[in-house]
Amino acid sequence: MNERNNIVEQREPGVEIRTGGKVRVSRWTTGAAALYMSAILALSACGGSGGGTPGSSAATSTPATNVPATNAPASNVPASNPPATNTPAPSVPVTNSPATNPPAGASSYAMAITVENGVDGERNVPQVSVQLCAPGTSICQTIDNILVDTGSTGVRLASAALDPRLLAALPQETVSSGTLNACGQFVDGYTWGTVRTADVTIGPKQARSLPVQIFGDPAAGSAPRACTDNGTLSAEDTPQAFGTNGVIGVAELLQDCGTTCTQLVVPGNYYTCSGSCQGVKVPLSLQVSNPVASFAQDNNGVVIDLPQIGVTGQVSAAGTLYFGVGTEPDNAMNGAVALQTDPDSLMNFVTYNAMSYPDSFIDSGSNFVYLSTASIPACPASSSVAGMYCPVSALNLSATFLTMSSSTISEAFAIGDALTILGDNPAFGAFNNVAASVSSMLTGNTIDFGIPFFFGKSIGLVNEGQSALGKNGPFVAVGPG
Amino acid sequence: MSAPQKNRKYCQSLDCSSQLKREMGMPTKKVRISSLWCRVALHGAVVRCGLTIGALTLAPSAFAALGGPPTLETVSPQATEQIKARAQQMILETSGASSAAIGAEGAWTVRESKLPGGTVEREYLGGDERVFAVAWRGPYRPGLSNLLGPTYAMQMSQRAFAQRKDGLGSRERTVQMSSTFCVRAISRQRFSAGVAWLPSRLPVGLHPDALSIPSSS
Repeated sequence: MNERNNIVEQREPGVEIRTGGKVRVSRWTTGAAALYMSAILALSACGGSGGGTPGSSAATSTPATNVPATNAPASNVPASNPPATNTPAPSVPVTNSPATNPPAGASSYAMAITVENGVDGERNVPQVSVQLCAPGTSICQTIDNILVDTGSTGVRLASAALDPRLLAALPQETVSSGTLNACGQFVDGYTWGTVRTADVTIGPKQARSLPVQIFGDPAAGSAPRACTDNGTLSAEDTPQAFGTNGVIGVAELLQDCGTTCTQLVVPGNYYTCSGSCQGVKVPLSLQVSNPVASFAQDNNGVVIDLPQIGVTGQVSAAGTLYFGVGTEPDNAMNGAVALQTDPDSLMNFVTYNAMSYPDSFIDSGSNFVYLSTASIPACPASSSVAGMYCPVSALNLSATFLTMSSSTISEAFAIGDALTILGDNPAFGAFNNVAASVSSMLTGNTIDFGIPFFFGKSIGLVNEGQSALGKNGPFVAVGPG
Repeated sequence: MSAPQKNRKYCQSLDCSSQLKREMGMPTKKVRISSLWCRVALHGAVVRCGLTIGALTLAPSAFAALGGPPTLETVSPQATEQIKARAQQMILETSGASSAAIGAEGAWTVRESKLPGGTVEREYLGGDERVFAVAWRGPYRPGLSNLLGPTYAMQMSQRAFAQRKDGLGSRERTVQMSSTFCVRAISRQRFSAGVAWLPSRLPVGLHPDALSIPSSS
């Protein structure tokens, strides 16, 4: 620890210059070339995270002219926006505090999170910037447009969003003397890439030497057939296909695969490849892991706090991502209720409209609310939003969750007319009342409570092996916003 | 009401027709021909051949598929009865349908296997011993190219991708209904569950909700 602290101290004076205000920079829709250029510009000498409160337009554009090729000390640029030492009101999220010298107040454990369009134009994507450094060095890059995902574990970044110099400096993990690659599978595709270690700075917090997946990394070679499921899954290895430049998975389980992958080769997870790829067992410490658990403090989970927004939506919505649950004054989640959460699957048990949805989940990585019900009118089949819901007047609904106290709690959500809401403001990126998954089959077993559900609430995730709110994790908690 | 009409009721949906339309109008870059995809296409052809020439699907690879012969392990009659009882209970809990919604006695049977990682795979067989539906549930995603067959597995993932890009579904959840193939699935780290069926082969009176594997089984 001392050694590592020293390294950070040494890096401390180096301050990264961000290349633009968060909202503006993130409106990249022009494809990989623009992403790549932005990545180059964002590469800079590093230290703590850059200055600038959310919405600030004061960020400076500074071409990176002095990227250290090796471990040479960074040439330091004065901070343009020194960290505040006395935090303003808790409701004002602050992002500018280096991990090693946090000012008092929420800025030492909170950062801004912005709900807006993803890089591919997907709506309702909660995003932050992260700083990635080669471990123990000042070879660093700040990467914008990173999804904060409560539905997965681990940091995964698109190779295309990384400067090649940084990528080359990130050590690849090895297992059984082979370099380690990781596969991630979804219902709609897969990611495939290397597993490398990086110092990952997320707002005021740092996870050092964290195993991360770099998807689309040429060093991983071609994905094995078990990852593509014999070619039936498509690659989501570019920012455009994935939807963002990467993801910070903060789900309540600490590794993406867990103990089973230490004992068994589980198809579709970890591989070493020379010529052909072979599935491998991987110790927990080498698996792609929840970054929060690696923080020095406030490491038992996260709270996502999004304000309520108007029913017509907004271009973007700024909220707060707190690190830790019940560890600090502003992440206390007063009045929150711990939901019954399956410790293995992390599913919540929900009833809605007198039917049960035993495999439901609250997922910041889902753009809208997805449920299948016959009780809400569907949008016209011929419309651009066929498959979504279009009630004549907005519906204020509630879903009932089982709680960890063997009781129930009713949580509100709204569904409006998607045709009007999305059609009237095509440039908007934040909506609290859009739902989809119209189906003739009534149940579907699952309600996926995506981002619209988060507005006006605080959603807490308490990790496995940790406790908060008087309960043992893993669980998800819902509180007032 | 004849059986096909009954089945179509479960699978006629607005989202399906719009999906199909969208797919027909979509650019075809996804139909990139590589040796890998050619093999998939070949398997698809084999599956289709298998419907008319049954012997072809009994190749040594025992590639499973909806509509084909079973590949999982046989289940005792007692276990089958338990599965049917649970299915009935599930129907009552989730859809409020009548207890008859699991179909007639003897109309279907079950095969089931558990993968080393703990995920249960299940095949539902009609009276003709063909797989009319599959289900899975457990901590890790099974090889759906094998359980559903490569053609349906690819159809599912491509539609799910299009749904996500259109705001109609997430990375982790999809519901797809059509007159030929229906699926609903969740797949995320540490949990994967779903059920897929061929509506034209669904036994009379069996509600698809009865096909899910419940959490405590």
